[in-house]
Amino acid sequence: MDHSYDEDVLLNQFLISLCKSSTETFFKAVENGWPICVPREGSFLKTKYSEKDFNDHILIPSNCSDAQFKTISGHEVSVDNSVVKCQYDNKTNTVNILFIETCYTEDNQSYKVICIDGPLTSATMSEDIIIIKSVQDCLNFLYSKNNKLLLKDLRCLMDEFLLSNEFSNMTIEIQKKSIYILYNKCLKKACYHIRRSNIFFQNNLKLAIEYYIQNKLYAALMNNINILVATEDAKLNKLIRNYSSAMIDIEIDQKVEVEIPNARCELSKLYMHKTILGKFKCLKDTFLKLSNGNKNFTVDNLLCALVNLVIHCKIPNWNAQIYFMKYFVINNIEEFDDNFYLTSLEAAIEHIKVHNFNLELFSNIHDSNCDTFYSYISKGEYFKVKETIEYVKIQRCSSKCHPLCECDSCMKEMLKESAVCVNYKDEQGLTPLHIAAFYGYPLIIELLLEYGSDINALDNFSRTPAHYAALRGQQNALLFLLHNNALMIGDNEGNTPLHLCCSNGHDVCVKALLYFMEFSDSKLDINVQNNQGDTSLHLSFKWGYSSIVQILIEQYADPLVHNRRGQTCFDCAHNTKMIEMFSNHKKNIADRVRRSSIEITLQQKNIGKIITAITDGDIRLIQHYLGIDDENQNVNNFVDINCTNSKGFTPLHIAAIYGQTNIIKLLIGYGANVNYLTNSEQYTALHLAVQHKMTDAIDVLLDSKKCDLNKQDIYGNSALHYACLTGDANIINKLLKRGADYGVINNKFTSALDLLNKNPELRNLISTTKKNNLIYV
Amino acid sequence: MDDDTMADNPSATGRSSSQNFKVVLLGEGCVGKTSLVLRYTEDKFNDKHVSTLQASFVKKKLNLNGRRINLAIWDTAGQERFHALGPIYYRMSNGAILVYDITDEDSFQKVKNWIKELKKMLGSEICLVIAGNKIDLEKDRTVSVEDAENYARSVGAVHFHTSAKINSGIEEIFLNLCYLMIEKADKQKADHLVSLNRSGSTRRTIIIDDEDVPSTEGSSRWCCSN
Repeated sequence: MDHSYDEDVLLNQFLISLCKSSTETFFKAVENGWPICVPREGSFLKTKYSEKDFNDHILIPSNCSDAQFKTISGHEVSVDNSVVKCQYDNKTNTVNILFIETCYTEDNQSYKVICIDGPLTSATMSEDIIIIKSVQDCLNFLYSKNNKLLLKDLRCLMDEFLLSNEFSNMTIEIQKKSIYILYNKCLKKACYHIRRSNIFFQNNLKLAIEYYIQNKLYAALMNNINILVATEDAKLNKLIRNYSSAMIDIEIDQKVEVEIPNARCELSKLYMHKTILGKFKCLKDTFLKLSNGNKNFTVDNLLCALVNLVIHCKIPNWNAQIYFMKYFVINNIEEFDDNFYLTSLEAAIEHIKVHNFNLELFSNIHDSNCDTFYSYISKGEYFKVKETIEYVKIQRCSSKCHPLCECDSCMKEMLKESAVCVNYKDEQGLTPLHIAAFYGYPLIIELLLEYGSDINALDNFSRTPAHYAALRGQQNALLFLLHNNALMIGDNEGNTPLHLCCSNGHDVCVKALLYFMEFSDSKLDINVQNNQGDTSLHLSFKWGYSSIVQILIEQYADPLVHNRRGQTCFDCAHNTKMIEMFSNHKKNIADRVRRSSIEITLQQKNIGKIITAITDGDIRLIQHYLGIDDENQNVNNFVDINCTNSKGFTPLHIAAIYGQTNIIKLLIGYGANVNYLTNSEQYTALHLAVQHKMTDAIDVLLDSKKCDLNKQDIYGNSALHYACLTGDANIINKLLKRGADYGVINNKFTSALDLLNKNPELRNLISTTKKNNLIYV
Repeated sequence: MDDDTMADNPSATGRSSSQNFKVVLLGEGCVGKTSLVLRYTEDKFNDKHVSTLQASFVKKKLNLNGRRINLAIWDTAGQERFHALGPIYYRMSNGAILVYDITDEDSFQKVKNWIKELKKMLGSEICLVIAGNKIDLEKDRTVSVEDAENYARSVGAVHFHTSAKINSGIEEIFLNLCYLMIEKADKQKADHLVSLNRSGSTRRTIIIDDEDVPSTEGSSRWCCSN
């Protein structure tokens, strides 16, 4: 990419006359492999070059050092980092190396030509070769070398272009074309101002103009590219964010690994460069920093390191960056030998996209017992986890000389055993619960909580298990934790679980969290800011997750919160299309809240909310949850009215337990299944109402006329059995009046009548008409 | 554009006369690809001036009897897990050097796979040379010379015996590849000129050489990339 000097050395007068007039010297140099220094064309003008001139420019390697040479004429020459230093007449002449070329004679003998900026024999440097390396160089070049009107004219052209064309609204293809036209216009203008024939100068001018244009148009161009590749970028970001949240299984050569922080620093600047020139230089510098003179720096090393860099660089639009570098080179395409850098970056990104990395949360733990325990959890082996915990518990009791013994050896044993325990912390402060949350196993979480795991345990980053569930988008685990009253707190960087699922692109988790927040008294504020002042909206805009932005908008997240850098979330957006979502959403916000919430099929969580509402008897809230508000009579359910919690309890069961007659009426009215059975005991609502002696509830249930009076549960008991067991004559009468069969036999071959007969006092209270029947049987 | 000489018509001197060739090195992990390049580019001047990323990416200017060539040598990843990234690296290459270890039958098998893949993806656009490396270990040879050369002939590749350790055959392999690439490029250029005369389209020619046929359609430059 360095637009370095180039010329055809075989047309160089110095070399030509060396070949022609001193053929012998030339072939001697070729045969011995002595490099020939050739002053660039025009820098060493003579009508006739003497033998001495040639001898001054042919280098004989010295034996002692690789960088030391002697000319044929005997002058000391050293070559160092792209300059040749020559001792001549007691002075040191320093001449730049422009390029080195390996030439072949007709019979394929090779010799080396070093093209230098001027003759080695004179210290006077002719006109400098300007190499344009930065935007500033471009400006200097355009400004100083020529009359000062050029830059002004170019600026006018640019402004005119930007104003007249509505450039930012064009499609990419048209943009490309119009840039090319603009480029030619500028070039014409430049030719008008400067008339120089030097090809090298002309190339520089082209380059300068190209970068001048890119620099000016960058913002508008990038905007369009960002929109074009927005979905790809969002997809990639989600991958990158998730991979960056734990260790991935990629091994990096140790020598390269130490260079990574430096290289990351460099590569992070990529998005700040506004020209292709700048971006390529940035890439090249990154690579040089990675290799840092390492002789064994192979492409494998490079790719491993790049994968790591891309994941950790926090650049939110890789695809757009690559698109720009690939497709917006105007004229200097053949200069892009350095495509290698871009290609490698592309390859690394491709690798991230296609390779399924394993995420590892915990490092090796020294204690092998714990290591196995942790790996059981990470693999979700519920029974092995359970086994281990229980085994430890038993061991702890049994290994003592007496269950209550506190002697030294027993206590020692105790300490050793407790290594494998639910509240163990590894070096990173991770408890088993963190691991289970990260890998998303609600059952193991439940188990661990049961055995006393601290639900809000903090690791070394002050992250709770809920943070880890959010990081990896483990919705069920997250909900389970929330349901068990996990706190929503900030970690060391002030990120709440909400922040983490926003920046990692887990929209289902965002939904779940927000929904949970809405219907609970949880204190999590949707506009909570992290230490950088970023809200979840900032983060979702930054990484380009439009679906999450949509959810946040619907939940009334405030877009005007400023972060520490004074930016609103709109300033963080790369994909400006996302901003439009704000203006679109207002129309039917209510509708959307509904629809998006229906999508949450989280029965577990919803029923948890409903259960609370039912126990509280809050009929309005239940109506709201179930989407059967008064003003909205259609039974297009918010949550299925027959939804069940993990134990198979429907809202109706719960209402029956608590005797909430109004709610029972409501539920039945909206189609709740009266004879729905719970999972393990197979209770109907009636069973529960009877067990809990909810007389009014029983009435309501029986009034529904759909109730199966003699339904037996898993023990074979009917509602009447329970009524007899609880000994409430009123209830027994009610049931009998409705035609309950007292002859039903349960698993112990006992009928309700048998139960009743054991309790004569109660039996006397049963109304006479029925009593006859009873005796009859 | 036609009145604008600077934009599109570089004069006969300077860079316009040199050709850019991209060469990829393919082969299994430890067959010695890297040392091959290191040996080829190794000299007292290259240390800081030319070589940028040690062996993974090297540029070299050659002058074959007046034909100027900018040779870009791209090493590729040898590890199996990066295999899928091959096409990203070898697209647009003019030549490929396929390296195997003569003491390792598997690495020769790998070369066959690579060639199959290259043929499938790039057709005959690419010049192939095969390098049987590590001939300093002749006594441990497991891939027979005959097999290798027959195979090379059957796929239209040229076979070379090389050793980075004793610096044998390396200069030759690169030099020969350059001649092959020049030949192919010349042939393609001629073909395009013929087809140009037939179809009257100017688009393709611009890609090959923009001095002979001045560009009349600016936008076409956007898509040319070699």
